Amino acid sequence: MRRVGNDVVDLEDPAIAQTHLRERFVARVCCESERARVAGSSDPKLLLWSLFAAKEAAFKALSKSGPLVFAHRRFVVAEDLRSVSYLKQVLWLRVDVHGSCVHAVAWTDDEPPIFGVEKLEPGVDASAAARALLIQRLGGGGLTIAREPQPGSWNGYGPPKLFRDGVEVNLDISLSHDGRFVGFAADSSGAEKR
Amino acid sequence: MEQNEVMGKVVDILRPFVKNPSALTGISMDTSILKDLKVNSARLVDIVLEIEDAFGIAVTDEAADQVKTVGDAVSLILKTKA
Ligand SMILES: CC(C)(COP(=O)(O)OP(=O)(O)OC[C@H]1O[C@@H](n2cnc3c(N)ncnc32)[C@H](O)[C@@H]1OP(=O)(O)O)[C@@H](O)C(=O)NCCC(=O)NCCS
Repeated sequence: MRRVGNDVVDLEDPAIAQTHLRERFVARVCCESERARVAGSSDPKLLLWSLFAAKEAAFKALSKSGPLVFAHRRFVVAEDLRSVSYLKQVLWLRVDVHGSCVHAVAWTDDEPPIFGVEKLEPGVDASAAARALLIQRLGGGGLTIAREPQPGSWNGYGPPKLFRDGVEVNLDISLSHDGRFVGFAADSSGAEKR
Repeated sequence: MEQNEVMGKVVDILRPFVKNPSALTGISMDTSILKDLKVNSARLVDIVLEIEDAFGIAVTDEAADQVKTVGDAVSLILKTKA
């Protein structure tokens, strides 16, 4: 199955205002070549969080195929931000900047997924908003998203899955939320599981 | 260092990263850092670095990946310091 992952980062989150200046954070997240690129960048904050989002997106895509240690610096992002590698696996990548939001989408096959980002309305639950955005883009109609219990995972649940009228759909999806933004990616092929 | 002392220090480290302070009431060894405290993965990196500094230890990527609960963090610290 084609795998997709996405990650949004709200660049105006005060918690990350100075993070790009903290060498130990950069060293924990980036491999050596990426560190050099961040240090030499005219916009180190944007580059750091683009790399971070790319690694998160790739982790979300690849961790669905089996247990994976999440070590950010083992995910290596190409200089042109068009691919991200983990050991021998290479994923396609796109990184878009929408105002103060970075959105990274990673996928395992040639055909690009569909994806989107939206600003969160104040007071709205981010998980629900991300789900609503994805379902709306897929056309609604009996679609729901659920995460099944997965003992041993970081928060006790596995990745999100798509269902139509209660039956799982063979279409990989990914959700993300950070600060004032929510995002999604979904495989664009869409053959239903029988 | 006693388990309670480590636990207290871990809670102090977590406090600024927890968006909803009420999540810290009733915090226990079983509290999940991601699910219960709703810490996101960028903040997890900060927490690992703060634990390294506060306890003078190095936390490998593999060890960090095993820490799901407050109790996991406390055990890791006690084991690494032993
Ligand atoms: C998957 C993970 C990276 C998400 O990161 P995050 O910044 O906390 O959250 P995001 O908003 O980007 O993404 C959250 C969404 O990811 C999805 N998700 C959760 N676990 C997933 C997994 N294993 N694979 C794919 N997607 C997953 C969920 O849909 C979730 O949204 P929901 O809670 O509304 O359902 C994080 O939950 C995780 O498991 N991290 C592993 C541990 C780690 O970070 N280690 C580093 C230690 S230094």
